Amino acid sequence: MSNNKKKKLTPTQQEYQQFANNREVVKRPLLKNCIKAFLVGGIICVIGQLISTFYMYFFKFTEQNVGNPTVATLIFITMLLTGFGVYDRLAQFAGAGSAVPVTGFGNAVISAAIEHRTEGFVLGVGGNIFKLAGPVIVFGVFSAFIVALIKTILIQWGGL
Amino acid sequence: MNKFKIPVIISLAFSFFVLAGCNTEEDKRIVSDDLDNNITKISKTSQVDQSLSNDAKEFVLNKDNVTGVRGVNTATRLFIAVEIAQLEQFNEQDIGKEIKKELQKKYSNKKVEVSSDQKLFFELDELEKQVQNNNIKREKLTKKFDELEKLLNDEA
Repeated sequence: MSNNKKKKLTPTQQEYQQFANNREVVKRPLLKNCIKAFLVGGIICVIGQLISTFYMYFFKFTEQNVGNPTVATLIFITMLLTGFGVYDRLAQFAGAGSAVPVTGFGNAVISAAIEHRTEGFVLGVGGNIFKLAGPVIVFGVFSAFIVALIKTILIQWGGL
Repeated sequence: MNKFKIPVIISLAFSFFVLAGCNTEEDKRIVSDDLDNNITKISKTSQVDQSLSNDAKEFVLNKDNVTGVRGVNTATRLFIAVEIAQLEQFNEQDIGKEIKKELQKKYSNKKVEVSSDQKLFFELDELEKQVQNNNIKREKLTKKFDELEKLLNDEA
């Protein structure tokens, strides 16, 4: 914080700043967290690969379209695990390893629904279920639109 | 807890082995053990002569970036599925197209289809076994080819 801003702080705030600066900062075990995330994220991906191979082997899905049922299955499994409280424990252990794959999306939807259940089905569950997942969808659709636009321009005018 | 776990594990393992025993088709093909050159050949006893597809498979497998190949032919058509080396899989569709062009040139009197899709690899593997064991009639093979072509062009 710059000195100029510091002067404007109230005495209580200054006291807090002093306290925060002197507080013993616990160093995060960065490497350990990365390894945990890598392992758990990798295991989730292996499960996803197994599911997609299963769908290809036993149903009429090709490599092109096997992603759709695989993602749906993974999200369904995560929803069950979130409801039973297993996924939360996994997320505490793995961090980003469990949040970055598509399972993290399912977890974000269901945990919001569970959290706001007491507020009613319309304003509670309905209003909050996409609290975190909504922006993911919006940014996803928007960036896909931008990429498609760039591709179209390159193909139409760049002769790619 | 342990008392409960052991019978469950045993019954699961047992059912797995029983289900694994329910294999659909006996494999009488000539199979290579080399993982980098995964090729199977159909012997001449089959109803529809497969010397063309055997020939094509050998030609395709000679390429550096191809690690496995399966294929079946009828009198007018040839269907080949390729497995591309791990790091080359980024351009597997381009490699497939290139192979298709070469094969079409080589066998200009046949309609050639080449796919790098794993699903087609599984399907052709199963079809090869059926052809080898003479379990499939000519008309059914043609029908199966139509089905595979539909699968190949399915974009949904």
